[in-house]
Amino acid sequence: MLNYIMRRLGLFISTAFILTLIAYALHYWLNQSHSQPIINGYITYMIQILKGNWGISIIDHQPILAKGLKSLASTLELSIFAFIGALTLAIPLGIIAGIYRNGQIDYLIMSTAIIALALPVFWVAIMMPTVSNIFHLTLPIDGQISPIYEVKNVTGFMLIDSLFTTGTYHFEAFYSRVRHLILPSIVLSLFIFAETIRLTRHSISMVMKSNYINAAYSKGLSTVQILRSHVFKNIYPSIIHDLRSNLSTLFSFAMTVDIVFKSKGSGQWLLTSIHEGDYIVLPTAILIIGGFILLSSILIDILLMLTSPTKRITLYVD
Amino acid sequence: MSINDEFDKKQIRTPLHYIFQIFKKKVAAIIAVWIICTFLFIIIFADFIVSHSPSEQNMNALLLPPYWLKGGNTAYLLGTDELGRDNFSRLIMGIQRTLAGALIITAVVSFFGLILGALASSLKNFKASILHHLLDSLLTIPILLTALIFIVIFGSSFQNCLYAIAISLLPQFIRSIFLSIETEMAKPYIVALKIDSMSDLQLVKNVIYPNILEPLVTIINRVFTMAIIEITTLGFLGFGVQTKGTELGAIIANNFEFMYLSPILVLAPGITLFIIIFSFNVVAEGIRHAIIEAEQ
Amino acid sequence: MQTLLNISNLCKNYRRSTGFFTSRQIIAFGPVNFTLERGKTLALMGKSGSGKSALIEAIAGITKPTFGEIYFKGRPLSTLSKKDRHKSIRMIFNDPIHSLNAKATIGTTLLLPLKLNTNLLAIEQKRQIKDVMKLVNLSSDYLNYYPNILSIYQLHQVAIARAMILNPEIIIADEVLATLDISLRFKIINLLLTIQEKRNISYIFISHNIKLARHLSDNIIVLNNGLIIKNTPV
Repeated sequence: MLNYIMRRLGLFISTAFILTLIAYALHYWLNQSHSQPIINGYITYMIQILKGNWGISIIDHQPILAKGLKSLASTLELSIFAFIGALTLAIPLGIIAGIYRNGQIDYLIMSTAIIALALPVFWVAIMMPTVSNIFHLTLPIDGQISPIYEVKNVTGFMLIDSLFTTGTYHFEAFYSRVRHLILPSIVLSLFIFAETIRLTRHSISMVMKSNYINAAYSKGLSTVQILRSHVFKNIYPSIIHDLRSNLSTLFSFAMTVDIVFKSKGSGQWLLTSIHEGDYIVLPTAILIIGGFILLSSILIDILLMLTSPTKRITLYVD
Repeated sequence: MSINDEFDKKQIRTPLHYIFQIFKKKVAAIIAVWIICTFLFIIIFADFIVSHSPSEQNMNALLLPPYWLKGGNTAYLLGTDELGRDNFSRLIMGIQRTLAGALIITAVVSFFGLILGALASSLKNFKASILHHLLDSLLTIPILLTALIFIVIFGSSFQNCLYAIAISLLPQFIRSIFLSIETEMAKPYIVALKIDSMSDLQLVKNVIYPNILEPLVTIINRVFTMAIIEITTLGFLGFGVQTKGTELGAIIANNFEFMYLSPILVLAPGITLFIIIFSFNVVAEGIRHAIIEAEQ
Repeated sequence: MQTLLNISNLCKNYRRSTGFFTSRQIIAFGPVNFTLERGKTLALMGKSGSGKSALIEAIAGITKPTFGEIYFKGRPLSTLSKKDRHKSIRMIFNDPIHSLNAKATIGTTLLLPLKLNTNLLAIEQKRQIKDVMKLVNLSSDYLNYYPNILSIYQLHQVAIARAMILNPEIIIADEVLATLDISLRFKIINLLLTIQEKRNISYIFISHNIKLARHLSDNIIVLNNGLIIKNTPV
């Protein structure tokens, strides 16, 4: 157990090291004046990074690290919202499709999934205000939170920070933030929705074919009982594992969505910085976003291993 | 020993032939194939289809609705934009540019990815370990960020956008190919071929690739989908703008402000984009199912 | 009587990492000593996990032994070229369905070893393939077929043909009879014995069936925990 965690940490450290090399290569290329040889330069760069001196933005003279983390937090809130929405809908649908494989319902659900996957994210994002108008929903279409609320930056997560303002605004600031999250997270959830349906359907139909399911049926268990006692335990590790490998694609889409909705996330941060010529954000973004995705992948690996016995096989092999 | 002639020789079909026969029976996939053929036709003959030059402005016909609506004009099938340019012509040129770009990226990424994936699978020990750590770290950087970085390095032109997207899609392709090869390599028939003195590279090229067609179709389809989405996203964000031609994402970005005056400005390119991606996905699914059914 | 194979002190260990820096040695088999003579048959027996599969994989050249040497006609196998080695020692796998490439015709499967290991002309290759098909009593029509339309017995015949195509001196058969029913099993055994008579080759069988092993072989070796606990002539 401890060994496995140690090995994952080893992988984390070596991958993070390569990530810093990539970031440094970019940093080196962007800085036209090279006062030091490359290796010394890398060491100085890393010392500055570890000290927390990640540089100052030339646009507003704010520290880049703080801005990057704050925008990451905003994108994260969006992604988590989208995840919750998509999973609650997609997993039941995926299960139904997997059980009635090649039936009418399966055909319908899978078509929905392919349609959701084929919709270009940025286009759906710009169509969203019109769609919500058609349904007479008065939801905010851009920004992170209504500008009338002054929310102090405590954790960086606007959703949590707005809870600290209950003294002045009661829960209104929090509601405003939630309402601002609804449309962008619907857009982002399309991709997760489609992927999860596909993955769930695939794992369910794999599991339902196996002999222990036949054995369970012959014991007289009903489909629902079998799903509850045998199927879920066997499918969730592979679904989570596959979603984990889609994290960086998902983040790409999240960046696109937050650019269109101007919700002050990572995408908007990068785009405005590039347009203003503040290229120094790029190596920082590699470290922050790449580092975040790496860290969450490793944590998911460890959690999966702790909760699922089938994944524990990696303890004994390799 | 008995030679039983219960099957006649006509029944001997190559696996590809067999897959094709199953595929032919899938109605949705065949319709999608025809749609794709139409788009390919548009790519090749775009210059002859368009009725106006996509940059030709007509100050007397600004923001016209499509011809079937009141105020529309059959000279402008899908109406005009805020500068009086013909939407239909711009759409056709946009399809040409976007789809051709995505197809080129898919071809290039698949070509290099298949070679590099095969090389990756034949590496041993230390070299393999370095390669995998490099891929691991490249895969943590979102495609959009990688593409933005390469655009900053190369400079913002449409061609450079294509380079940037191709490079950013490559690591994922290599990793997926590598995983499929690994799974196939563990199968018993590969061991049997190894003691026929077959080398690893020969194995991958001649035996494994034909045997992993199903995952290959999925992976290549994924690359195409991501390529077209990234091309249009970058175009939408204002990268790769060129004066001469135009691109679907850039058209959408350009027409975005006038969406409420003339919805067709944004609907037409968006729906076209959707139909392209959808058709390719349906065909890929069809091929996948045909392969799976042929193997059973 | 010529000694074809002489196995001396052959060992195979796996290193399995148990921690960040620590690892443990797991012994697959060995040290093992035995000999095989021309035209004779050897049966390897033992329970699952006793190391028989690892042992034949080492002899067939699929894996490398950690220690010890295999002498083929007095020469160490490690000094032979890969081609020579694969030409003289061939293997029949236990599952013909999964050991044949489903995307290749029977003809291609049989042609491949000839192409890779010999310098024969195309006509000679064709003749050799026809010969070997005759040897296993299979019509040459089957050469154009894909494995999926052949019966299990025919697949076994193909697997034997594939092993015989290079005129080997030793054939290793890994539980070839386990997946067959009793009547087909005897057909295969008779086929193998006829081939042995015709071409004077040696077999190494892995078998779980003691009666069968007695019937087929001149020598029975019983493995347990990777070591030979019994080596008895029949």
